[in-house]
Formats: sequence, C-alpha cells, structure tokens
Amino acid sequence: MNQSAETKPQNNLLSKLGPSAKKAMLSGTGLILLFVAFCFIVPGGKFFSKDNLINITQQVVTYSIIGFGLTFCLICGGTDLSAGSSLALSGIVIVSLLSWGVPLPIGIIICLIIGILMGILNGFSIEVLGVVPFIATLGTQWVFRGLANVAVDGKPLYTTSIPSQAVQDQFYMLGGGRLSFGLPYSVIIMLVYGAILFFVLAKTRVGRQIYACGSNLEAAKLSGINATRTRMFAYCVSGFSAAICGILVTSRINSAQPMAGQGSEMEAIAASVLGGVSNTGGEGSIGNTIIGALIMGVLRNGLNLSGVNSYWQNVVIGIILVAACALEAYRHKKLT
Amino acid sequence: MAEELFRMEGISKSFPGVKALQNVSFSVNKGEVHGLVGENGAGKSTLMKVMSGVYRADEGKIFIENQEVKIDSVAKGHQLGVNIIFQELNLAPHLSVADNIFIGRPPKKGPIISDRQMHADAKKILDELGININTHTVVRNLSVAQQQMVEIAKAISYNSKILVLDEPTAALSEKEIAQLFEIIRNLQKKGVGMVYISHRMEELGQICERVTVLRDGQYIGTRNYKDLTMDELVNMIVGRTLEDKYPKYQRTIGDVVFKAENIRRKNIVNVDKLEVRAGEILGIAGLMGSGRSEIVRCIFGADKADSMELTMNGKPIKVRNPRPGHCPWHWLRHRRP
Repeated sequence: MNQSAETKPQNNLLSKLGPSAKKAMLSGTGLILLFVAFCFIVPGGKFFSKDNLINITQQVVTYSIIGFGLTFCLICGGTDLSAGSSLALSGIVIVSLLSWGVPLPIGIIICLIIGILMGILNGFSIEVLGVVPFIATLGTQWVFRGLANVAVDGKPLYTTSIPSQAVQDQFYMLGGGRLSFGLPYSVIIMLVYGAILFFVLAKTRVGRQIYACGSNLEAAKLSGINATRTRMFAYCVSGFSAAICGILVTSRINSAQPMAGQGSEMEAIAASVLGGVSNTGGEGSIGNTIIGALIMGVLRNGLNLSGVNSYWQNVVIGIILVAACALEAYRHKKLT
Repeated sequence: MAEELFRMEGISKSFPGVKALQNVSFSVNKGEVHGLVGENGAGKSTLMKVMSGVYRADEGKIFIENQEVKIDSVAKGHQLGVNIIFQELNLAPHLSVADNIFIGRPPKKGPIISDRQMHADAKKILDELGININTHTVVRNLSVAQQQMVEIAKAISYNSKILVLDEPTAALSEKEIAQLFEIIRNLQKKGVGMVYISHRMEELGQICERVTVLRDGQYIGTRNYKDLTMDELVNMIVGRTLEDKYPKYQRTIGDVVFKAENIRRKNIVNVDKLEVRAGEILGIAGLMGSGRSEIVRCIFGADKADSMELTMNGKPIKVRNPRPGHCPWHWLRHRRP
C-alpha cells in the first residue's frame, strides 16, 4: 500500500493542522508583511498611530461581519450576493421601527429576524426552487435593494426621525460608541459574534455538516446529512450577519442609506478568499475570514494614507486578489 | 444451514420508461460474501440502492433477521445496519479521515464535537481492520486504495450487519486487492454479511460462497460458486451459450495507420512506441493511475507532452489542442473510473 500519507506521526501538531489553518498561516504572513510595509511607506508614522489603528478596526468590522456570513455560504459550496442589499434593507427596517416608537431591543430583535427571513428566502430559492446560488442571490440582491429604495423613496432615513433623544443616543452607541481608550463597541460585537460563529463552524454538528456539503454534496447526502437544512442554515447565518452589519453601519453614520453596503458582499468575498476560504467550498474558517478582512482593511487604509487615489486603490486590490489566488493555485498544483 | 441475515422478495422498481428491476429476490447469510453479477445495466446497482435506502422499491418486501423492515432513507438503512460502498467513492475530500468516518454523526459532549474522542474512535476502527492511516490526514491526499479503506472503516463504524461493495477492486493493484480481501475475511469472522459486485470472475471464486445473477433487471438464479463452471456462469450472465469466449472475427489487418513514438510527460507517461494498423483494435491495459488515460490524453492533445512524435498515414502530424476528428471526445469520457 502507498505509505506516503502515513509517515507522519499521529501526534505531530503540524499534521493535525487542517488545510484552512495552513492557509491562515500563509495569509497571516502576508498580512504582517503588508502591515510592516505600510508602517514604513506611509510618511510621518501616521499609519502606526492609535487613531489610525482604531480606524482600521472600524473598517474591518464591516468586512468581517458580512464576511462571516459569506464564509458559511462559501464553505457549503454556495455564495450570497444579496448580503450588501440585506445590509441596506436592515438599516432601513431598524430606523423605521425606532421612528415608529418601537423600543430599541425589540427593534433590534425584529431587524435580526428579518435578516434571517432574507436568508430563508435565499435558501428557499436555492434549495427548493433549485436556482443556482449565484443567480438566486443575484436576484434577491436586486429585490432587497429595490425594496430598500421603495421603502424610503430612494432618500436616506436619518436617525433624527426617532422621537426619543435617549433612544437616538443609545442607538448611536451601538456602532459609533467607544470604550474609554477608544476601542469601538462594534469591534467587540464583531469579536464576540466571530467567536460564536467560529465555535459553531468548528465544533458543532451543523458546522461539520456545512463542510461536508461543500466538500462533496453527494457524499454528504448519502451519509444521511440533511443537505437542504444545512445549507438553509448557512444562508440564514449570512442574512443574520448582514442584519447585524446593517444595524452597526446605520448607527455609526446616523442614517439608513438605501444604497448602503453596495458591493460590500464582493469585498467580503474577496476578504474571505484572501484569508484562505475556498470559493468552491469545503475549506476555510472564521479565522481565515478575520485575517482576510484585516488584509483588506490594512490595504485600503494604507493605500489611502500613502496618497493613492481610490481609483488606483481598486486597481491595486484587484491585482492583489488575483495574484494571491494564482499563488495558491500554483502551490496547489505543486502539491499534487 | 447458515443463518439468514437479510432477504429481499419480489423487488420491482421502474424508472420512467425503464423497468430496472422485475420481481428480484436476494438474500445474504451471516458471515457470507454473496457475489452479485450481471452485465452493465442488469440492475445490480439499482438493487443495491433499493437495499440501502437510496431508492424505494415499487413492490417487494425486505426482511432483516426475518423481521420485515422498510428502508425508506439512507439514514434508516444505516440504523438497520445496511451500508453500501459505492463504486465512485463518496468521501469529502477536504475533510480528515476521522471526519469522514464519522460524517454526519460525530461524537459529541453536549453540543460540542469531541475531536479527541472522534480521532481515538476512528483509530480504533482502523486498527481493528488492520488499516494503517493517520486519522488526521486530509482525504484528498490519500491514494484511491486508501480512500476505499476509509470507506470500509466508515461503513463499519455504523455497526454494519450488511455491507455492499460495488466493484471495490476496479482501481486496486494486486497487493491492495489482497489487503482488501483480508479485511473482508476479517469482517466475515465477525458475522458481517457482504454483497460483492464485480466483473472479475476470478475474484468471485476467491471470496464468494454464493453468486446471484441478474440480467436485464430480472432474477436469473443463485448458485453455489463451487458447483458452477465458468461457462455456466457466463451463460447465466449473457443468456445464451457462448461457443467461444473470445470469438474470432475475420478481419484483414492492413498497414500502420497511426504511430506515436517517444511519448513522454513528466514521470507519468513513458512510451517508446505505439502503432495502430488499419482494421485493428488496440487495447491499452493497466490499473487506474498507471498512465492509460494519460497516454491517450497526450496523443489527443489534452495534456501537453514533453516529447511526442505522431505519424498519421506516414505523414508526421502535430497536435496542440484537443480537436474533434483527431480522435473522438468519447475516447476520454468512456474510460472506467
């Protein structure tokens, strides 16, 4: 028998590391290199200052929370292009609810439930109607975006429309509030939410089933896994994440914009992939997504401070995305 | 008299336009390896899918240890101890060996998966079967034979009473087949009943007590392998007497039409010369992974050869890309997996 795969001892730590962890190490190295590079490139030490680092974390929050949901979808072999629109729609829902006088906690709960419902709608089109994920969620992207625009007639909805000043202030604290030393609450929310999802994906049955569905759907089904329910769950996580992100973004900018989060699902996909989540399924973890989100955040911020204008930033980020994937493809080819 | 473990009676199954199974009966005893043979499309795989809960039969009854059961889902089949190892392996390539063995039902402590427990359990199962594979290895890094071993371990982990092996040796080398047979005999001693589907008659003789033959979805018969001659078995399978297993056709073999020389590609393909004459059928034999398809892929232009000289009707030709007319697409598609 072929002995090649058995030579490693059972207890060697490296041999226990999954492919996702190995990729995370690679992307992590890239992240550190980028970080160090920007420390030198950006003039006047502006990059490595407390204010800027906090600024980066704030940007990273959006990428990662949307990215968490997309990570679930990507690992189970799907995708969710509607996340950005869900974000906008959730923002409008929460501000509308609050302006009607609904108490803040109840408003948040309703908004999150609507996020889950958007996920169910995606899952329904994919699993029950049999539309491929790319098209199904492209459709709902337009549906959710359209609904967001219809609801407010294309105009932003300001939080000043909330009758109670106390609620206005409380709501602002969610996304805009900071701890005494300047760390935004939203970063803590992101980390806690990430930790929960990390746990769900890595250590629970449904998490393992998501990997199985993305790795080999047929095998998963033949092993008695309910693939429909599993993938439905992934889309719900994505909708839920988009709703959280919608609340945080709306809160930070004091208004619900019907065009908020446009293209953020694409940036989140890029972040996940840069972090080492496989875009064909079966591989990746929440850790990968956070690293990827940090890469995106550091890139955008560093390029900004280096005086690269936003058009060129897109060119650079696009090239880095393709180059990173090409490198991974090359590494993969060499391994096999 | 051997103890009967599993029995199917009068199983019929139709698909739109096809009667895949008509009134088929089948049984497996404890610790028996029961061969199931028939031509392609005879209904072997359909029968096994009915047996394991992938398909539901239109008619017929299933008994396990003389109790009538309904196997209406794969999960139900697992619960009743019926497991099937499909010809096309059904593993999740990105997951570890242990994850694959316990796919869909990992050991848990409360809501948390206990990876330590899972790897320990997986190792125990592999050790019992005498399989030496690291449970942390990601499945796509295993050889085909090793993947098959993982499939068997997976099936065993369900406490299988009945195990169906659908052409398990198609991709294995002699040595690997010997190892597989050892595992099968091991399971036999534990009282597991097995159904063994194969096209290789000599293998049936090595491990099967009884053989059941299907033809065009119909039950032809069940015999003790010892009492059968090869000719009788072949007659049952094809439904007519074959005077000659390898009939001679009158053919005129002409000149060399096509010649391929010095085909080299990395260390997979290394062929000095290959010739086809007019009216000749050239067979290329070998195990999976031995480079059969790779040779043809090079000639076809689907893979880039490091060096290759092709001659068609005496004239040298060059192939850079696959192109219809040069050789048909289905050459590549119809290779057995």
